[in-house]
Formats: sequence, structure tokens, C-alpha cells
Amino acid sequence: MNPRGMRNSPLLLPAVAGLALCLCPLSAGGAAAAESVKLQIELSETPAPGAAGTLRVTGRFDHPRFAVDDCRQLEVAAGGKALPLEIESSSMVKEFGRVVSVRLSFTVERAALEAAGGGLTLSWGPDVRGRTTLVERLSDEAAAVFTWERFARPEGGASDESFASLEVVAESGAEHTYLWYLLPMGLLLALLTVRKFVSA
Amino acid sequence: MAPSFPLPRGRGWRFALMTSLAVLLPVAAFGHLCNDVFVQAKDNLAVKVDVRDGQLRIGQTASFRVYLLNTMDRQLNSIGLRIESQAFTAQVKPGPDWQGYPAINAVSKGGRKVHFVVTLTRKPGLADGKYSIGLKLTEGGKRSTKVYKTLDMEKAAGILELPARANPIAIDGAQDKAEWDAGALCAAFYERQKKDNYTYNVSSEVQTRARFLQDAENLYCSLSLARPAGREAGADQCVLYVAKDCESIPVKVTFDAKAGTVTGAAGAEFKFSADRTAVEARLPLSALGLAGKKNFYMNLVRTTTTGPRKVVTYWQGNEQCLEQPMVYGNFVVAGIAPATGTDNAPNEPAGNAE
Repeated sequence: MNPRGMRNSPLLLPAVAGLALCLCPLSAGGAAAAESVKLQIELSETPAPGAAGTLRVTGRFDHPRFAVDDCRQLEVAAGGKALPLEIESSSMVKEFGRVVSVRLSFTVERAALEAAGGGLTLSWGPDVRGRTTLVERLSDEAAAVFTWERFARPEGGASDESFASLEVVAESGAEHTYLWYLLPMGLLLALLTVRKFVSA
Repeated sequence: MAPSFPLPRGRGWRFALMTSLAVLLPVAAFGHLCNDVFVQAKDNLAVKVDVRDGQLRIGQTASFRVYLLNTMDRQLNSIGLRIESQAFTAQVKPGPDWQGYPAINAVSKGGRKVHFVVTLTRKPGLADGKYSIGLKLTEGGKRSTKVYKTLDMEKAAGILELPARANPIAIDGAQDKAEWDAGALCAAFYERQKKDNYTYNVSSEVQTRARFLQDAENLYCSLSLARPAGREAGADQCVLYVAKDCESIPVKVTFDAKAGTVTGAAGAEFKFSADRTAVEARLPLSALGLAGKKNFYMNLVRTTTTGPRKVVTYWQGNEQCLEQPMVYGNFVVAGIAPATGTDNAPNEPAGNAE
């Protein structure tokens, strides 16, 4: 979120424009299987005056699953077409030598956004090569702000070490499962009984 | 010449005007207020499915609770819960201690957490297996189509797997990848910002990451406390809230990066990095009230100051529900991780908590 942008820009778009953001991470271990998660983006701000027909969007991306060796392994696409990205080098946060959080900015044509049905795709992983430019500081120019749904889970691929799954299991024997706890006790009792008779 | 329209005169005109105002103003106000609660529900209506060990096994029937907490600026007058499942029929009842059902009062106005009790029954002929369940929180009334929140049961349970270790971790402040990479991760902290009269969760420039592991006796915690570039470091405290269940008062462990201390867990061992942007800690389970627990609740809140500016970031929840475990992450202890040969023997002296 860019507070400066929020203060300076007028609200021209509807308060919330739901856009699908597809995140395509690879597991932290660098496994080959890609995963994807569809998230929501909220655009609540508008570009600076004079940027007719385009929308400048900025925001911080720090999804818990996000981790790349190089910030160029990050791409934002509208309708499958990669957008040029500016990445703020001073905003990068690393964990275990990998980039896990970064501020970025891109400009998208409104027509392209509408043609894509409002769908933006943010992908990352070792095989991703985004059209990225590193800048020390992002421009203070007013911009729309992208957000994404926290705790979104991947739709497929490998399991995520950060999230456990809740299993709702229909199991015919579920009501009798506790009886298994009686087994060791019963076994012990039986052994003691046998021993008593044998020793007698 | 401008056309002239005959206007009603006398009592008839005044009556029509007053009647219109009397009807339209409340309708407009009601519509505005209703819309307000739907906008606020996204970040200010907490929902937690309480399933203790991460599994709900259903023979013929099974029950669980869905907790709700309203941190909006006003009461929710009516709320209902719909269960969406092809596999089960559901019966939803308000908890016996829910006063004022179907309304939920706001926490800021004295409201407390309430819960629905959901009983699922298998549909005839349903095969054994795993099934997903959707939750829909709607405006009360069976025919209402207005939805506050839609989420699946898994998300509403908010479960994180906490890897258990066979051997202890070296508390040296080094945050070694081999030790911590598998740890349960808490990231994407947010600030609360007011916009259009409401308070929303927004990504923060103050970046925090926490990882957790456990062995038979201790909870291990690794905090990364990054600060925005170019900002002078002021006070920097991160509070870990730990509760053994949804109903308990949480234990608070405070990591103070400026003072270089960890307080609130007797017998804790800790070590900050030299620049105080990272800390490792071993917290005895007994000091946290977690001895023998395989499932508990945790949250983190970090407060930093830079000059006059104070930034509070939350992993879960917000300022109104800091001591409500129902908004915390539900940590379920997983199997014992394989032992490694590098985790013992701390190579630097570490501090001890008061």
C-alpha cells in the first residue's frame, strides 16, 4: 500500500474492482511442479492526472508463499501479456538469501485490463522471467494500489508447508475409533490374568 | 418564456413533502448503514471454525463450533450461517450463551464472541472419503441473499502445521536455514488504516516474519524484524500471544528489540542478532501453559516507532481483539522431524528471560 498515493489521488474507479490474481509459485525448495492460486485484487485508487487510458498500480507483495532467488523471477500479466515492472530495490526483504517481500509498480492500459476481464496474473518461480527494472525508489506519483487475499491456498501442486489442511472425513467407523484405546489395556489385563493362572 | 408548472398549494403539498421525506430518508439511511456492514465485514468480522486437531471425522453425525467476533464500528443486526455441502446435511443452531441472537454487538460497544453449533449428518449412501464444506455468513433470514462473507471451512479453521523436532535448536541468533526452513511461517503482517470512514487491513512497510518449531519440552521461535530502509530505529516490540484453547486468556511474551530482552516466559533462552533485527528463542511449553498440548493458538503483534510515528502491525486480528484466541492461528503439532547433526551445541552465550 502506498499511503502517499492514497492521499493524493482522487477516487475515479469504483471503490473495489475485483480482479483475479493468479499466483504461480514454486515450492521453496525449488521443485519443478508449479502451483497456482487465484486471489483478489482491489483497485481503489487512480493514476495521476494526464495518464489517460492507463492505470498505474503499485503495492507491496509479501505473500507467505513468495520466495525467489532473483526479483526478476516475478511477472505481472494482463490477459497473458507480461507488463513492464518496476521493483523497488530498497524495499526488498530477504529470508535465507531469497527475496520474500518487495514493493513493485506497473502501468496497465485500461483497455487491456478490460479486455482481460479485469484479470491480472502475478507469477513467480525459477522459470519466470519478468520484464523487470530495478529502481532504488518507486516514484511518488499517485497510483492505484493492488492487494491480494492473504492465506489463499494453492489450487493444485505440491502441499504448502505453511498451511495445514483441514480434513473433513466421512468414516463409517469414526464412532468406534475410541475403542482402539481400550486394546492395550485389555491386552495387559489378559496377560496379567493368564500369568496369574499360570503361576497358580 | 420558461414554462410554468402548476404546484400544489396548501396542506396537500406540505403533506406530500413531509411524507416523502419521512419515507425516503430512513430508507436511504438504512441502505447506507446496511452497505456499511457489508463493506466492513471483509476485515472486521472474524470467523473461526474450531476443529481441535485439524480433522473432523464423521461417522453418522458430528458437531463443531463456528465462532464469530464483530470488530466493526456498529452492531450487526442479523446474521445467519449457511453450510454448503453435497455430502452432508447441516443443522445450524446459535450457541446457548448467545444473547441477542441473531444480532452481534460490536466489540467496541461491549460485544463478545458468539458461536454457532453446526451438526453435520451424512447423506444416505455417502461413501467414506474426504469432502469440502463451504460456509456462507449471510444477513439473517432464510431467503436473504446478502452475504457478509463466503469462505471454505479449511480457511475458516486457520490451521498451521507446527513441525515437531526430535532435538533442540541452537539459540545463537543466526537463523540458520537448515534449522528454520521447515518452521511454521507467520508472514504478511498488516497495518490498520482508516479510509472512507472504515478501517481496513493493508500491507505494511514494516516487515515481520516469524517461524516456529517445537520439541517435547519447548516452543522455538525465530523472528525477523526488518525495518523500512532509511528510517531511524526507535522502539520495536513484538508480542507473541499464546493460548491453549479458544476460551483461555493468552500468555504474552514480549520481544523487545531495542532493549534486547524477552519477557513473559519463565526459563526462556534467547539471542538477538548484533543489529537486533533478528532473534531466536526457546520458550518452555510449561511457561506458556502448553505442556502436553498438541493444538493451540498463537498471534503476533509488532509495534515500532520512528520519531513521532507509531506503526502497529498484526499477523491476525486487530486492536480490538488482541486477547481473543479465536482470531489467532490454530497451530497443530505435526510429526517429529528427522534429527540433524548440526542443531546442538550453541556456539554463543544466550540470554535468559526473567
